[in-house]
Amino acid sequence: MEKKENNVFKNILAIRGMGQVMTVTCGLIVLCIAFGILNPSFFSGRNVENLLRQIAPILIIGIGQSYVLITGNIDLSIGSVVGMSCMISATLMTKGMNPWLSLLVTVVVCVITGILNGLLVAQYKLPPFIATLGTMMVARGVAQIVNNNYNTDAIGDAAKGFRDFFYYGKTIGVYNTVWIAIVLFLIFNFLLSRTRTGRHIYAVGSNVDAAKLSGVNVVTTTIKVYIVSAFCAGVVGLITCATAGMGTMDAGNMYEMYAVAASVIGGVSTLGGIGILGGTVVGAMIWGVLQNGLQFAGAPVAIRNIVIGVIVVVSVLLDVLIRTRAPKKKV
Amino acid sequence: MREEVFRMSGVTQENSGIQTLHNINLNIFKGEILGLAALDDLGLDDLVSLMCRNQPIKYGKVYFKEKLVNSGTKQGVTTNKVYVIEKESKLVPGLSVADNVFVLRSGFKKYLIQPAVLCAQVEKHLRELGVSVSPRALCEELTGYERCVIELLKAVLQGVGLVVLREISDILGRADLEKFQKIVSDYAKEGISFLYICSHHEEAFPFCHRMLLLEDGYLVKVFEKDEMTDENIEPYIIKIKRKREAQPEKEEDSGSILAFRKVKGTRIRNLSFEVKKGECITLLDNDNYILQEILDLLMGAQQAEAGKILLGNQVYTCRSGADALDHGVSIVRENPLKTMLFYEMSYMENLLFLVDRKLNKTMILKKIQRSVINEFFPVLGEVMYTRNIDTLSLEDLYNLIYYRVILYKPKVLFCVQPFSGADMYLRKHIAKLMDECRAQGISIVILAVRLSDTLRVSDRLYVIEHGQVQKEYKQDEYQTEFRWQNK
Repeated sequence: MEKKENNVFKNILAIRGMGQVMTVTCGLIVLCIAFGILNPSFFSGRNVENLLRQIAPILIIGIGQSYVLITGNIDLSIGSVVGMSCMISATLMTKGMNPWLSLLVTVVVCVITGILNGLLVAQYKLPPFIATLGTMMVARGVAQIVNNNYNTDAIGDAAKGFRDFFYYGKTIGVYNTVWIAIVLFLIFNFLLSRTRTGRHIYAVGSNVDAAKLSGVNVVTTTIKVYIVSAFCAGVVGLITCATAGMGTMDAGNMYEMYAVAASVIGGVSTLGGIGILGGTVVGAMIWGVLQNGLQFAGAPVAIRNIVIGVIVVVSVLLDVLIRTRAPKKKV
Repeated sequence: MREEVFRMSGVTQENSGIQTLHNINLNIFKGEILGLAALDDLGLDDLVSLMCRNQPIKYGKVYFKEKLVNSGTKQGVTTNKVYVIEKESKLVPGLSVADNVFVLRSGFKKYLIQPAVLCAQVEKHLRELGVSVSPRALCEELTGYERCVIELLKAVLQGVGLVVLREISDILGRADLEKFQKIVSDYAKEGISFLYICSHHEEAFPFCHRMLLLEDGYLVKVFEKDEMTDENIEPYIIKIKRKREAQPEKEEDSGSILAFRKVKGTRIRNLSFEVKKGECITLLDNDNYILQEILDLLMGAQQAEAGKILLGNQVYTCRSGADALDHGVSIVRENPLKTMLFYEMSYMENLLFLVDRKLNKTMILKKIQRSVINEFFPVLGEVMYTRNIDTLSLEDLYNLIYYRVILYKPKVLFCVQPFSGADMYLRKHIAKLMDECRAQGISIVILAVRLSDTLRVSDRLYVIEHGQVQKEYKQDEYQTEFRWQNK
C-alpha cells in the first residue's frame, strides 16, 4: 500500500485535468522557444520581467473565473468589476481618503457584487450568463457614475505607497504585482485543493444532486466562488489604478474573456467539476506569451485576438469532446 | 397458424469488443405478451436496441412482420415500428397530452393544428381506457401511471406492431401496475404484441403468455404458460439470503431511533411509523404518492403541517441536507450511480467526502486517509486507489456509495428504491451492503413503490396508500401476502 502512495509522479499525472495541463505546458515551452528564435530579445531580462507583470493580472482574474467555472457557472462581470474597483479606489483617493482605507472600501464593494452574483445564480436560480451579464452592466454603470462620468484625476503623491505596493515596487528583485499574483495563487490553490470548501466547489460542479445529499450547501458554495471571483477582480482593479495612476472608466474592458481564456486554456472545464489552478497559471502564461511574442513578431492586435480566440475555442471543444466521449457508467 | 410480429434468428451481437448477445432465437406473436426476465444486465440494451433499429449485427437475422429487416450482410440502418416504454419518458414535458399523442408522431401530415378536434379525440380514447387526464394537461404534470398510459396510447395510435415495456414496475406503484397491466392485456386482445422486460419472474408469471430468461447474453430458458412455476425456475435464479447473525441486538426497550407521529403534509396524511436501532423497515407507497414529500421533510425542503418527527427523543427539525446529515439522517437516492457519486473525483475523495463533516475538520489529514485505507482495504481492495471511477464495476461503485455511509455512520439511512434497475446479482450485492450497514448499527428505512427484494432485508413493512399507513406487517406476516414481489 505504501508503495502505491509513494508513487508521487504517477499520482500527480492521475489528477483529473492534469493531462491537459501537461499538454499546454508543452505548448507553452514550444511557444517560448519559437518566439525566442524569432526574436532573441524575447528572453531578455527586461522583457521577462514585463511579461510576468503583464501576466499577473490575467492570472488573478483567471483564478477567480476558474473557481466559478469549476462549479459549472460563469462570471461575465469580472471586467466591469475591475473597472468599478479602479474607479472607486481612484475617486476616493482623489477625494482625499487614505489610500489603504479606500482600498478596503473598494474590496468591500467588490465582495458585495460577488455576493449579489452568487445569490442571483444560486438562490434565485437565474442562469449565470444572464445574472452576471446584468451585474456586468450595473458594475460598469457604477464605474461611470462614481466620478460623474469622468475619468479621475491623477491619484497623486499621497498614494505613492499604494502605487508601489501594487505596481511599481519590487521585492527580492521581482515586481510586487507578480508577488501579489503568486500569494493569491498559493492561498486560493490551497483552499481549492486542500480544504473542505475546495471539495465542495468540485462537488457542486461535478454532481449538484449528489452534493446536496452529501450535505453541501450549494447556495453558500456558489456565493463563495463568486466572492472569490469578485475579490480577484477587485484586486486587479487596484493594480490597474496603481498602473495608470488614475481611475479610467473603461478599465478592465474584455477582462472577463481573458479570464475565461486563461482558465479554459489551462484545462478548467466549462462544464464544471474539473480543473486545477496550476492549469490557470499555464493558461495565463500562454495568453501573455502570445500577446507579447506576437507583438515582438510585429503582428497587429487583430491577429493576436484571432489567435487567442481560436485557441480558446479549440480548448473548449477539446474539453467537450473528451468529456462527452469518455466511457460513462450506465446510470 | 399464429401471425408472427417479430423474430430474431441466431442473433449474435458485439459491443465495444464484448459479445453481448449469443445466438438469440426468439419470436413474438400477434397479441402475445412475452415476458423477459433478465438475471443480469448484459445484452439487454443491445436486444432492445436491435428490436427498434436495424443496426449492424455480427450474425443472425431479424424479421419484423415476417419480412427480413436485418441480417449480418444487410447495409444501412432502418427502424422498426416498435415503441419502448421505460423509465425515461419519451413525451415532451412542455407540450400538452394531445400534442404529444397526435402531433409529435411520424405520419402526422397536417400543417394546421385544430386543438379542439385533437383534444376531443384524445379524451375519447382516454375515457375508453378509464384514465381521467385532461388532453390539455402538460406532460410534465402527469403521474407515472398517466405517463405510461399516454405513451401506450401514443404507441397504439402510431400503429406500432410491438410495444416493449421495460422495468415499468420501477415507475408504477403496486396498484397502478395492476391497472396498467389490465390495459396492456386489453390491448393484447386487440392484437398488439408486448415484450414485458422485468427483473423478477414473479412479476411476469401471472401476466405473460410465455417468459424468456436472459443470462449473460444467452437465452437460457423459455417458459410456456404451464411451466411458469417457482419449482421450474428455482435452478436458474439466485436468492437473497439475509445475514441475520450480522445484526446487533435490537434495543427493544430503548424505543425508536426515528419516529413519524401523525405527520401531515401536502400529500401525507397522519403518517406514523418508527424504526429502531439496527432495524430495517420498508415503506411501500402503493400509489407512488408521498415518497418525495418524505424526503422533503427530512431534507428541510418542507415542514410538517401537523404531527412531529422524533429523532431519538428530540423533535427533528431540519433546514437543509447538511442539517439532516448533522442530525444523523443520511439518504441514498434512487439510481445512486447518478445521484450519489462525483465522477470527476477519485475513489478516495468520494469515500472521504463525508468524513470532514463528521470530524468537523477543514482538511483531511494524510494520517486519516491512511487509517481509512488500512481499515477498508481488506474489504474494498485495490479499487481504493482508483482515480477515474468511471472504470469501476457496478459492485465497486455500490460499495463506494454504501461504505461512504458506513464511514459517516448516520443514525438512520433512507434508501429510495434501492433495488430499482439492478439485475439479480447486483440486488444480492446491495442487500449485502445493507446488512453491513445494519451490522454497524445504522437503521435503514427503505422507501419503495414496489417490493422487489426489499422484504428480504426488511424487519417490518408499512403499506402506505393515499398518504397514510394502511397496514403494518411483521416479517413473518408479509411472506404470504406479498409472495410474488418477495424474491
